[in-house]
Amino acid sequence: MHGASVGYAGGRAVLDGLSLRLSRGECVAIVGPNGAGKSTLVKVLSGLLRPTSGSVSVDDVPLGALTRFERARAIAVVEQSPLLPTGFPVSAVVGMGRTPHLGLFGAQGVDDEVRVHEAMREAGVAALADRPVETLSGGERQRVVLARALAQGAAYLLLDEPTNHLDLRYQLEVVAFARRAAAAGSGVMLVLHDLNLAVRASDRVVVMADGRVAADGPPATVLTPALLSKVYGATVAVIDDEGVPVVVPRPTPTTI
Amino acid sequence: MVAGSVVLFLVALLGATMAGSSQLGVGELLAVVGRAVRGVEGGPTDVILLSLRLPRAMLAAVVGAALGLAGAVYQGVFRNPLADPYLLGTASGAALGSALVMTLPFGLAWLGAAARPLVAFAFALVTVLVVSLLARQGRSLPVVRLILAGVVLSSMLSAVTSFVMVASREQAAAILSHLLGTFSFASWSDVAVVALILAPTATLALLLARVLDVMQLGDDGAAHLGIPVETVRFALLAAATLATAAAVSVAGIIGFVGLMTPHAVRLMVGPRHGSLMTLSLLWGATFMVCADLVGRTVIAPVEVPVGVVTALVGGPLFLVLLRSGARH
Repeated sequence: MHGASVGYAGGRAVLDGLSLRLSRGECVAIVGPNGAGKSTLVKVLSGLLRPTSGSVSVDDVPLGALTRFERARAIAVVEQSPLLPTGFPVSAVVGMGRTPHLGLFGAQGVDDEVRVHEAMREAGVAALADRPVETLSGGERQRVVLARALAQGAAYLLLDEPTNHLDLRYQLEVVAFARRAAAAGSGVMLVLHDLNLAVRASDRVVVMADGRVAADGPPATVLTPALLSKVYGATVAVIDDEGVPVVVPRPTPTTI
Repeated sequence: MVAGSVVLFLVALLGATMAGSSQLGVGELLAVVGRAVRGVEGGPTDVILLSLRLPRAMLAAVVGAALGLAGAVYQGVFRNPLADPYLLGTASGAALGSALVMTLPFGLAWLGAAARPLVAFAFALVTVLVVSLLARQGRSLPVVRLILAGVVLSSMLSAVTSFVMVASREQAAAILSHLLGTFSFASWSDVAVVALILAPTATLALLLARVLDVMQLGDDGAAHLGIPVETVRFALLAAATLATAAAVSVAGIIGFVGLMTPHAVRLMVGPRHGSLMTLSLLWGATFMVCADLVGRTVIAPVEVPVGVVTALVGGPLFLVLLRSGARH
């Protein structure tokens, strides 16, 4: 993405001349306060929103030059609160991930079924294949959505707050999943609220504020108390845990 | 499931042709078919079967199929189990059209018997068009606005229709009777028209069954998978609306079938739209044939309007289904 700006009619710019790069094989975390424009960023990167200025390209091809299905074959997105339709078994939902390869009228073939099964295994839901999705726990449902994204076979994975409402175990599972996907050659972008999870998950952290990039680099360099206090408007300290920086909030009398 | 449903439908069709003021046995049925095939002239039995019972049963079948399918499509597109094919004003438009033709003095005699259904069909389509235009926001058709516009316009048109009925005392009874739904005047041309509209619309809907499944992921989810959400939504609604408009223009406003048939199917086989739409077609047809049969035999020689039957019989039937437990 290069110099992209997006605004809602009559309002301030949600993204303001933002430039960002995601490469295959790397895992990048996007963090920032509420309203920084993180979800909008995902929508622009995935092609759902067109920037009013600037450009987005995938592997040097402008996003606008791709058909919808080509775009979906290149970029897989896990939305913030994905809808899972009642009554559908897990295998059917994961199977929907093959849509970009099947088009509007195609039917699933043997190759698609193999990919679906592989995706379910990788995400740890193969044993739940026949279960209706509404009977699963929150963590299991998130795994199903991740499996669906995997089934798309896309080079780039954009995960928008995939750890919301998940307990510690599942949060770490998602991080491990993202790491494995990057190691396997995909470019993975994770939008996260939890700064410490971001540190564990990524090689590079991008801090967003007010629609712009405030910092972009390795976690240790980027997550400094000075920057974080300025961006979040809260006092933090950064301590060391076996070589890994850990962000600790330090409430003051002026904050709750 | 599909095979069983086809068999059930054929049994219903058979029953509908055999039962009535003069009972026809299977032997007589076969004889009539034999004569028809050979082109031999027959007697009153042939007339009853070929010009009255069979077209009536077949019309009930295609109308039921159209409403069942349209209900399944509307519920899928709106992602709402309360959606029925009349949501966007098709029925109220057709009703007003019919009422006006039956009351107003201008001679549409040159159109003959086709005047009323044609005008009803035109009114139905114009109504949905107006609803779409009212709901449009820029280049998109947001679902909530569609539903709101549909509900509001339906109320307004119903009010006008009621006024037309009140203002024209003599025709009020005839209008009401038509509006409650009837297959009494079914002709083969009616069957042909509805079937000709149902065939391509049902084919399109069935081809898009898997896409409709994916649309259940939400507009964003489906768009991320490459689906052109607005286009698909428009195509499916257009197809379902055409089928519904054809059905209500010919047969009147028959309620319940469009809303409940997909629910019953969903309870039995689940929400995947491939099977949901196929079985909604079949079960809608079967249900309507049976409802019409009941309507014309239960207090013979008086006919109970089929719209009354579908509600009074369908309701409890559905409750039984609901209580006997579902697979999903």
